[in-house]
This record gives sequence, structure tokens and C-alpha cells, in this order.
Amino acid sequence: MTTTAKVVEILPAEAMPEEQNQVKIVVQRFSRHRLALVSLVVVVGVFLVSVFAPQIAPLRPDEIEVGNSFAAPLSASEDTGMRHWLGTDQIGRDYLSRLVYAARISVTVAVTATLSSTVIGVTVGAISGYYGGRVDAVLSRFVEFMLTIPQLPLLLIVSSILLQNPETLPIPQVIIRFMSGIMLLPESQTRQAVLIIAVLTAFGWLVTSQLMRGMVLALREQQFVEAARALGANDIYIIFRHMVPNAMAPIIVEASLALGAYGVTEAALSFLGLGIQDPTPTWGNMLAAAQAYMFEHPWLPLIPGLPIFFWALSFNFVGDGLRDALDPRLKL
Amino acid sequence: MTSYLIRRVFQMTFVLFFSAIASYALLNFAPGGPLQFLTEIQQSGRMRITADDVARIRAYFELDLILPVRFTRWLIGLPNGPLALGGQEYFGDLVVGCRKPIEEQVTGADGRTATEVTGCEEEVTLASLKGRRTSRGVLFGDFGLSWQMLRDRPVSTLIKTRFPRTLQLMSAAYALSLLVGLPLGIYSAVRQYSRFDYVFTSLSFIGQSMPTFFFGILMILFFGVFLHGVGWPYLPVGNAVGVKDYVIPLVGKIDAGSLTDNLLRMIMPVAVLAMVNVAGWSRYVRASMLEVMRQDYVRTARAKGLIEQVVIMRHALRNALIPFLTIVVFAIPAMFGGAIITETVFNWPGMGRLFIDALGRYDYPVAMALLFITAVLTVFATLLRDVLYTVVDPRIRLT
Repeated sequence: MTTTAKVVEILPAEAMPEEQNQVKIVVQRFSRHRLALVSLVVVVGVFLVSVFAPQIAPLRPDEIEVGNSFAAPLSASEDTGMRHWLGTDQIGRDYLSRLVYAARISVTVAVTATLSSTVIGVTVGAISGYYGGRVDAVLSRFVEFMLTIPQLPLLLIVSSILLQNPETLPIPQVIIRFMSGIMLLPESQTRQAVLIIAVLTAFGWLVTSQLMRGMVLALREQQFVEAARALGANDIYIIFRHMVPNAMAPIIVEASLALGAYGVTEAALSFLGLGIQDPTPTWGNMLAAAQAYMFEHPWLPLIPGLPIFFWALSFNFVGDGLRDALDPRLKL
Repeated sequence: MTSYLIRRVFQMTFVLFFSAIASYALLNFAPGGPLQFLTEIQQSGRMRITADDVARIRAYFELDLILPVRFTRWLIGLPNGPLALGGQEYFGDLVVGCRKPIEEQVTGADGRTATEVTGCEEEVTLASLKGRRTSRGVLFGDFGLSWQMLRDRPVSTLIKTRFPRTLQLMSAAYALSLLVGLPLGIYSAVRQYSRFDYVFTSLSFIGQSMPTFFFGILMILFFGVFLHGVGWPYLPVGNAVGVKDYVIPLVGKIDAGSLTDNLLRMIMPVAVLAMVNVAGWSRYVRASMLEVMRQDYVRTARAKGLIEQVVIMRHALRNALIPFLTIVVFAIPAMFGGAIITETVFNWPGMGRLFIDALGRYDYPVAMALLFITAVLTVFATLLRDVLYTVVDPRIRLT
């Protein structure tokens, strides 16, 4: 009797002195990657700017000051005396305000596209890998086929068709209203942004699903899955409680790289004139507009171009850092 | 090997057939089309367009035929008349479309009026297809007529005028990427953890993250605007050849339209196209080299007393390049995607800019033709890679 009492008295810390929180380990390993850490700060900064866009921006992004176009950075307006920190664009809109609101739109597009394509990709990949057989054959052939077609031209064609006929794709009014609240845009402009998110998602989930399928194929043969099945767990339980959490590490890395890639793709679409169009500010269409005037006003393209570059670079570093941090086999 | 090739060719045809169907469906389910502008003109009332004009234009764009017939005519150029067998013609009066549909305004339940086709005034039979302009079929390289850009002219003419410019850009960029990327990757693998390796890895990481359109603009700002502004030798920007003679300091007068002019204008787009490849390829070669250098046969080669150069070039590099082959081969179709952005930034009159211009003017036959060409390139690249693998690595057998 006394012996069992003694066992109970042992503190958990003494029993397992080395026990560490999983999240804590990952955070520690991640912070050893110096550039990834710096990049994370940059990314968080961009997120904060986009969240507080209405507080940071001195003016509305579509407010035109007549007769004061191409004002140089730091110059003050002659009429109002207001300082334009980054100057004004070709029709006299405050460049800083547009840049800040553009951050909000670009971030929303990238985040929404990443979330939806990851969810779709994980689900399709898990189903395809778990069930195998005919379902898998059809799904993976479809994904492979879609991936043989070069993505950028296809993306451009689909987005051009959708932009010309925005009513082709029925989008529930609820979603438009919700997104317009997030992006602080009138509903007419929101539709375009939602279409671009849909196009990005439609081609973005393919790679994630291939990745997930591979993970599930490997996990399916593991003993803990067999044990779960022996205990009477059904397929959905096994997929979502055993497969998905175990496949999470590469999916998270993939998603963080995708965040950067979607940002660039959206900017590229808008830059080529087949993405989000002018009154709505995005980094891509600001850059496209600035390109026409860069010989006289060379700072114009630099201002929206740099955030696109840093966005892409930061997420590549963050993804790199996460890959190292999440791989338990890798000694740092 | 032969049976493998036959099976692969069969698969390829299947994939191409499917991408043809997919692109045709995309093209046809897209509302609008060449007639949209016609109805706009009709509604504006500036010009008088009679029903006969509309019927003629509809026939011109084959819009009077039913979808399956239109599709096979687009794909393989058939049927182009009644079925001729042994001097006899069959199915001559099979109805394949409608030249003049009867349209009626129907008021729907929600009060909106919509135009509905209720019948046919003049039918198109198989016999009447005889003598019509028929495309030879997409599978045989005839992409039909352009809707907007070169009204009524074949898409292939449009592509033919642009193709040499893209080829010029791509082959130069491809050669440059190999010439720079390979040595960089090898050198930094051999000198792993050296200062050069460290700088190189960071630079290539940045190079891979750099969006091409921004890099292109930065190049123009520096070489085209800044250097020009301070009076140093600069690079001309835009188009493949200039329209006006210009003088470059220290170099002299450049005639517009001359070869020098063309080459000078090529430098920046080629550099941008190559930058992405150099960054990606050299990183890949480095990783691949590092892996091979750890292998036993490399140690054996060193133990035999071979000099380091021979070990690296003959024993390590040749094996390290095998996985690299995939990337090099697939870069051919991928470069087309890169060319879309680069050619737009530098206003280079190649196929990439043609693609963007076509999309901007909703000229879908042109855009689809270009997409189809890239798909064909990708499919052939896959085959080429598999065959090349067996050539460079005898361990791989295709069955």
C-alpha cells in the first residue's frame, strides 16, 4: 500500500525531466533560422499594416486631388497643405493610401486563396490516397492532367473569360458582402477580387492534393492506423484525427510557400491587366500603371514593386525555416 | 523500348485530345465571342446590319453549325462535305446546323425578356459545307481564324510572325542559363561552406523569390533610365528593333533596325529570363552535386589517385546531371510562361505578348492556339525526358 502511494507522489517533472511542449520545440528551432525570423517580422508587419489600413492611410485610396498628379514623395499639396509621404499617382491619388489599402487587398486575396486551396487539396488528397482504387485513379489522373497544362497561360485565359463575363460564376451574395467588409471595398469591386481568389484556388489545390495523397499513402500502412481501425474507428475519424494531423508538417510548409506564391501570382495577373482592375488598388496594378510613366517618374514603380518582392522573399524564408523546424529528423 | 514508345505516343495523343476538348469547351462556353461586338454595333444604330449580314458572319465563324460538327471541323478539319465513297455521296442532306435561326423575345417568370431560338428559317446541310473555308484542323497545325487582332486572317499567320522573336529570346536565355547556372552550381558545391557558397546561396534564394516583372522594371530603371540620365552607355528599351537612330555614349551611333540594335534590345529580356533559371538550376545542381560527392564511387575515384578535377568532372558531375535533366527539359515549355511576363515588360513582339494582347482583346482563338502549343511542348518534353534518361543512365530501362 505504501509503495503505490510513493509512486503517486513523484512529480511529473521528475518523472520526465526532458519533456517539452511540441510547439515550444518548433518555435525554438524556427528562431535559430535568423533570416526566417526576420522575414516573419516583415510578414507580421505587412499583416498589421493591412489590418490597420484605415488608421494608417491619410486619405481614401480613390480620393483624387485634381491638378496634383505625379507629386514627388514627401511633397506637400499646394491647395490643402497636406503632405503626400509617397507622392501621388497619375491622377492625383495619394500613393501611400493606395499602397496601404492595396496591402489589405493583396493580403486578403493571398490568405483566402491559400486557406481554400489548402482545405480543398487536403480533402481531395486524403480521400484519393485513403480509398485508392477507382476514386484515386480518376482523381489523380485529373490532377496530373491539369498539371501538364502550363499554369500561367491557363490562369490568364480563365481569368480573362471570367473578367469579361463576371456573371458566369455565381458567387453567393453573402460571400461578396463578407469579403467587401474585409477588404473595405464597394461590392461591385469586391466581385472581381473574389473571382481572382476563385481562379487562384481552382488551380492552386492541385499540388497540395498530390502532396497530401503521398502522405496518406505512406500513413495508411502505419500501425497506429491499423490500431485505430481495430478499435472500431470509422474512415472519417481515421482521416481527420490520424491522417491529417500526421501530414500537417509538409502541408504547413507548403501553405506558407503558397502564401508568398499567391501574392506574386495575383500581382502578376493584375500587372498583366487580367487581374484586379484599376479603381481597386493592388500592388500589381499600381506597378502596371506606374510602368507607363517610369521614364519621367522612376520612383513610381519602385514603391509598389518592393512590397511584392519582400512579400515573396519573406514567405520563401519563412517556409524554409518552417521546413527545418518541423522536420524532427533534421539536427540543427 | 519500342512497345514503351508506342504506349507513350498513344498516351500523348490521348492527353492532347483531352486538352483540345478542354480548350475548345472553355472557348465555346465563354459568352461573348465574335458576334458580341456585332450586336453592340446593331444596338448602337450607327451602322445598318441586316439579318443577311449577321447570317454571313455567323457562317464565317462557323457559329451556324451544331457544336459536335463545329468541334470536329476545328480539330481535324472534317466534315467538309458529304461523305464520298466510291464516287457516290452520302448523307448530303443531313442537317448540321442553322443559318438563320428564328429568334423570339420571351418574357420569363421574373419579368425579364430573353431571346430564345424557337426554330430555323434556313438549315445547313452537309452538302452545303462543300466549298466553305475549312480549317485543316488544330491537330494538323491550323488554328482557325482570329476574331479580333487580324480580323479574318488565320491565327497561324499571326503566330508565324511572332514565333522567330520568341525563339530568339528563348534560345539566348536558355544558353545563357546553362553557361552561367551550371558552373555556379558546381563551383559552390565543390567549395561547400566557403564564403562564395554562402553568398551564392543567398543570392540564388533572392533570385528565385524575385518576381520577373519587378526585376524587369528594375533593369529598365537602371540600364535604360538611370544610365541614360547620367550620360553613360545605356541599353535601349522596348520592342525588338527601334524606329529612330540613337547614339550611345562611347559606343556610337546605332542604326534603327540594324542587327546591333536588335541585339542591344535583347540583352535585358534575356537577362531577366535567364535570371530565374540560373537561380533555380544552380541551386539544383549544387544540391545534386553535394549528394553525389558523398557516394562511394567518388571516394573510390579519389582513392585511385585521380586528380580532383577529373573526379569532379568525369565521376561526380555526370551522375549529378541525371536528375537535372528533368528540369532542363521542362524549362522549354515553362519558359513560355516566363516569356509572357518578360515580353510584356519589355514590349517584345513575341508570342508571350501576343498571348496577352489576344486576351486583352478577347481574341480567344489566338490565346487557345498558344495554350495548345505550350501543352504540346510540355507533352513532348515529358517524352524527351524519359528517352534521354535511358541514354544517360543505362540503369534505367523503359518497359
